Amino acid sequence: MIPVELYIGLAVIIFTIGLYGFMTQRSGIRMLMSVELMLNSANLNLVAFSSYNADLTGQVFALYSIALAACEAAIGFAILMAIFRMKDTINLDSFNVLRW
Amino acid sequence: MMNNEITINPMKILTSVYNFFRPRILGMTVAFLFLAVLMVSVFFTSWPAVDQIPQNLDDPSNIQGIGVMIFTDFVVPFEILSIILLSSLMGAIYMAKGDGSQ
Repeated sequence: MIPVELYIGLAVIIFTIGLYGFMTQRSGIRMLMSVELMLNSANLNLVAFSSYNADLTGQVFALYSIALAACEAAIGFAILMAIFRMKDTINLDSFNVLRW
Repeated sequence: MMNNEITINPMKILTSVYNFFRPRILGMTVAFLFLAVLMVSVFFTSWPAVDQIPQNLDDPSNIQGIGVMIFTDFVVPFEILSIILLSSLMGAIYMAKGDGSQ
C-alpha cells in the first residue's frame, strides 16, 4: 500500500509547478493554466486523505472544487477576452491600472 | 564545399544558459524554497491514515456513496454550487459578448 506521504508529495510538486508558472509567466492563458494546476493538487490532497481515512467527504468536496474551478476558468477566459478586445494583448504586465 | 563544422564555444553556451536563467532565477528560488519547506513538513509529519483501505469486493467503486452524500449531507453546498455555476455562466457570457458593436 502506497503511503499517504507520496500522494501529498506529488500534490506539493504539482502545486509548486503551478506556483512557479503563476509567478513567472505573464500570459493570461498560462496563468490560468497554472491556477488550474494548483487547484488540481488541492483536489489530489482531498481525494488522498478521503481514501486513506475511509470517509467520502473529501471526494464530495473534490467534486465541488472541480465545479468551482470550472466557474473560475469560465470567468477568467471571459475577462481575458474582454481585455484582449480592449488592448489587443493578454500580456498582463500591460494592465497595471484598474480604470481606464 | 562549405566547411560548416560545429564549433563548441563554451563561453557562448555559458552565456546562453545565463540568459535563460537570468529572468527566471528569482521565481525558481522562491519555488524551490517553497517546495523544500512543504516537502520537509510533509515527510516529517505522521498523517492520520488507516493501515488498509477498506475494499468492498462486490462493488469497488464508491460512486453510489458519493451520490448519496451529495444529496443527503451536502445538499446545501450542492444548491449553492448550482447558483454559483448559473451566475458565473451569466457573467462570463455577459463579459464575453462585448458591447453589442458586432
